[in-house]
Amino acid sequence: MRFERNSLSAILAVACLFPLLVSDQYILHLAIMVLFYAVLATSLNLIVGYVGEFSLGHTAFLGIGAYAAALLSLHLGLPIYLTIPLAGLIAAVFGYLIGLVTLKLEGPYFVIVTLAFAEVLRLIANNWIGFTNGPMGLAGVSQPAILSNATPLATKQVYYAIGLLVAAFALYLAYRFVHSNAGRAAVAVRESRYVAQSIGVSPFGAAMLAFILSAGLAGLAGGFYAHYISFVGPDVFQFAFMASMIIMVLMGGKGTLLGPLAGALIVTLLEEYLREVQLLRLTIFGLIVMAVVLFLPRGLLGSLARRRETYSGTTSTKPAGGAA
Amino acid sequence: MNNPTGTAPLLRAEGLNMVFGGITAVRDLSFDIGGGEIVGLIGPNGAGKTTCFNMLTGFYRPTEGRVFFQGRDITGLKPYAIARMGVVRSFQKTNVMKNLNVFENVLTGHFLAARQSLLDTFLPRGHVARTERAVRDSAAEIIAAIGLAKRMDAPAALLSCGELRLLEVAVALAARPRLLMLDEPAAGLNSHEATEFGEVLKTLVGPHVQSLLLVEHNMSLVMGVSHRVIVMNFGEKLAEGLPSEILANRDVVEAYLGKAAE
Repeated sequence: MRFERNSLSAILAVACLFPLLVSDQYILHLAIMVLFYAVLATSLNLIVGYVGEFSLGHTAFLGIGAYAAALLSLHLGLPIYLTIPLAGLIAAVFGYLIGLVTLKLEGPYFVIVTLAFAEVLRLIANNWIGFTNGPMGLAGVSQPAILSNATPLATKQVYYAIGLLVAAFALYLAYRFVHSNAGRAAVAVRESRYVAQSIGVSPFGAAMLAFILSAGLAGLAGGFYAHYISFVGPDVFQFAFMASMIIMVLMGGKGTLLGPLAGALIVTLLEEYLREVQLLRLTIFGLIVMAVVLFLPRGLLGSLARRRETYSGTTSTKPAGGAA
Repeated sequence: MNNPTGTAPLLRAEGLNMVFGGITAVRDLSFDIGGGEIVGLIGPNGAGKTTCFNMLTGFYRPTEGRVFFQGRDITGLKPYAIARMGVVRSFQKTNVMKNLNVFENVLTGHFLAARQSLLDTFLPRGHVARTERAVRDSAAEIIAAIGLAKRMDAPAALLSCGELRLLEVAVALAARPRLLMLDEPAAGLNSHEATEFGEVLKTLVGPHVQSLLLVEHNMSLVMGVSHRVIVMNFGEKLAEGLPSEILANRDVVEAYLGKAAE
């Protein structure tokens, strides 16, 4: 708990200093994508790593967030500091509705039904031309007002700051959840539904809280993405995002807060630098993933970042020990 | 409950029936468990003991009959709702949270004591930290009381069979039950370990739980610990009484050992 808190604080400090040291647009773009994927991977990890169900439809919430932010911005003219939070809230509401159906299921059934929801949403985005503009997508999502006369570099710097804010907020919520009683209940459900019920945990309720939180975080990421790319099309529901998220969570180490961050960093950079080998890119990518799953089944940080709770580690904590 | 003196039993099972397809697993089973009692539930394999457990704790809904806890009808409630009222069980097949260590297991068991509002989950105020400290202390106390203090930080996956059974009881105790129900807690223990386990069980009633219901095959453990024993056979109650009466009961001996040739 303390280890994770200290590591996260250190990462946050480095992330804050980063734009002061780097003034290359391309590197900043990569850093922004790392932040975006860090939020997505953290979000997916809440379900895969803590509740222990495998969601293949997480792009549903990413897409809902992206479309929500784009539509709110285009039709209502809302500024970015309202659209991104609203995107998160709307995705969370959808998380609740989809959770009502999917969380009654377990194992492969859960996987299939979540996948189906994402696919249904993709079809809606593609075909409801009046609302989503279909395959043409929604272009020209508004930019923050202060960027009206900004240089391309300043634009990247501002988006980096916004991305960092969103990521820090997402990690704060995830950290609080994971180390709360509700988070322990979710882990109990992951470990054994029988034990969870016999200690008074409602598996459905515990999983639902994690699911709503996870959907909300994915929605925030989607809202951020909509503004940054300034275009949202049905592609946001595509499986490629899902694949990246899964790889990040598994490679980094599910069930830890640091693992998905490491995964987001590594996978984003790999995806970028493997562009040079063109067609071989996905093949090499696949091989790396297979190697990680075979040789490091708990992920790169699985054993390192999974610090166990100990009693001795907490007795010295003063009552204010819960502060971040 | 329909007892005018006010000494209602802690738990009352009335005419429980459980039918799976065409098979009646439990037929017309009734019994009471009073406050402060350790009750043993025994019977040959397939007698319906675990089915009975599942009906009492909401994992099965009885086909017929009712279950009352502290005078309230709890028939058909969800397992977690029954646990919240104070009936907590362990499982026949060892069931612990394998990827967590001993301390984390028992800490997680304090779910009900540490429940907090959504706001407090994300913006904890001072009392959350105090509760958290209290449940951590309580977890350490329970682990010590059950005799696992040395293994506090060991991952559950590395515990021995006997230690796992103790851990299960510790997790159940963490939920602060009034009635603790243990399903074959001594399975897999050798006779020495079983005797020690029995001593631990005796110390629980009073300080930790009001009453204990125990399904067990280890006769010396059941007879040594229980105040009262209920015997089941083929889904029905065969006998009920003091351990000494049960040991002398011809029907019980027959159920276990078969009929002597005439």
